[in-house]
Amino acid sequence: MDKKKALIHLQNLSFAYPHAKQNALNGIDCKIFTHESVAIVGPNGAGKSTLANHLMGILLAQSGSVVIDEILVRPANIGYVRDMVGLVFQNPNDQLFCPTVREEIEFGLINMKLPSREIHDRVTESADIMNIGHLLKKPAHHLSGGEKKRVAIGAILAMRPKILIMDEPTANLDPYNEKVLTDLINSLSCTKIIISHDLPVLFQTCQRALVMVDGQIIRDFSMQEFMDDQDLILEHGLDFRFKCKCCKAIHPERFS
Amino acid sequence: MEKKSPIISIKNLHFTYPDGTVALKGVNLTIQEGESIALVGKNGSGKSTLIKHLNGIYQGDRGEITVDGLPVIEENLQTIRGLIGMAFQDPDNQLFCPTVYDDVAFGPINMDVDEMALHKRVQESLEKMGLMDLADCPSHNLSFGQQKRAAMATILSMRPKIMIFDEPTSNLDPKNEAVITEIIANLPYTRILISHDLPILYQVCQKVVVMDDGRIDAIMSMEDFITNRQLLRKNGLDFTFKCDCCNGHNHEHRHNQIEKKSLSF
Repeated sequence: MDKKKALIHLQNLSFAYPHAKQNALNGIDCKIFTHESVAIVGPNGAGKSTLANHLMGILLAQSGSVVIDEILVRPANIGYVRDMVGLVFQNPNDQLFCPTVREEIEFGLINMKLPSREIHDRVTESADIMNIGHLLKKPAHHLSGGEKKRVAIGAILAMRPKILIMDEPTANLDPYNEKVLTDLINSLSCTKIIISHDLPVLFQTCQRALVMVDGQIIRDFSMQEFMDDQDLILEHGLDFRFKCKCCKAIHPERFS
Repeated sequence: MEKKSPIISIKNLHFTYPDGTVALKGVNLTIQEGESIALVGKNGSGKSTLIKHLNGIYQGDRGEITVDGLPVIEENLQTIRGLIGMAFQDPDNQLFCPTVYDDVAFGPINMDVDEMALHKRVQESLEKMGLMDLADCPSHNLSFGQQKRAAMATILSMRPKIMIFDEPTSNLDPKNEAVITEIIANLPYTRILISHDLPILYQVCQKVVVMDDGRIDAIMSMEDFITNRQLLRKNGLDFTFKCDCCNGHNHEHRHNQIEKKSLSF
């Protein structure tokens, strides 16, 4: 029997947005263990981001429960949960609000009451990793979409969360920065949950795939099994092979 | 030989943001009617800044732009904004009405389209973007991918001559990506696509304009661009690390199987 304790434990989690005809989450059961790297995939509107918002208490379970590191996510425990979980939002505009990029990255660290030396070191490290050192003095709202995204990721990384959730981390990044981020994700030892439609990036970063459709997890298996399950991929609109034409033009030998 | 006048002409365009960031450093570019252009370059190379000059959201410090023969100056802006439809990178910037239907109707109403034609245009645009079921929903309750499609519907309903898409497929699931790629590929308008998703651009655009540090670095055919690894790498656009995935899903073999399966019926 597997006695390993789950770092994230969702039990029968359901949630409906006000005025919605359908539940956004519909009885989710799932365990995620320390150091796992989990991809959440599914069509637009499947409930992926809604689920992520429950993992750090932005949304609270209407029925069922969310337990993080054996702590039930409820208003009294939110502070603890948010120290554990770092969520990079899909839209960086939802996350960035400080006068400068440096202050954006410092914000979480100041809330964690870290000493100023440590804050300085972490900002430098994070800026270095995300290649945003040259942007530190700029207002975030003057940056390009891809630069904002890198700042949003840098701000979360600086907090060194135990659980890192990234919602569409590669959207709007140029391929160079996508590659940097892919390598970075692979080098992080924390527990990682990545929501994305970018299957090539997920394929390189995640071992496990949760497939969500209509607010439910309909499949929980390895990334390779997911990639092999063509029927499932076709049925739920996740077939991205039309994009492979381009790879074919570059690497004809792989397609012979 | 008859020399066609370009639908977009940009001459020596310079622009500096108020914080001192020099974003455009002398851009020269002409685009002919009906062309489908991929505008590519690193994050922060000036792509979004450039296209915001085409309909006068930004006005250059120096240089000239004409759209369909009209200089982009204050008195022409209303006409030019009827000619150019722009789908922003962030759909939040574009959706603000009580319902998706109202958002899609907003543009044509401003263009004084009559009520019957308006309804038809809205229906057509919603249908094309697969949003009929969501017409009465508040846009802010949609998922990001749905918002992205709604933002595009708001442009389609205006039937512009030039359509500009800033990262049209980001945050979309593969099915929606495929649908939107096909829609964009078949639009009878001049199109400019900004994207880092080269496989999508490969299917839609014939010509590539590469921007680097506020300048045009290269203009070439898509085929030449995609096989020029040195240029791709120099501009941070080498996405071939993602092609590993093609090995992982044993692409052709399965494709053939599926095709055979469907042929046998």
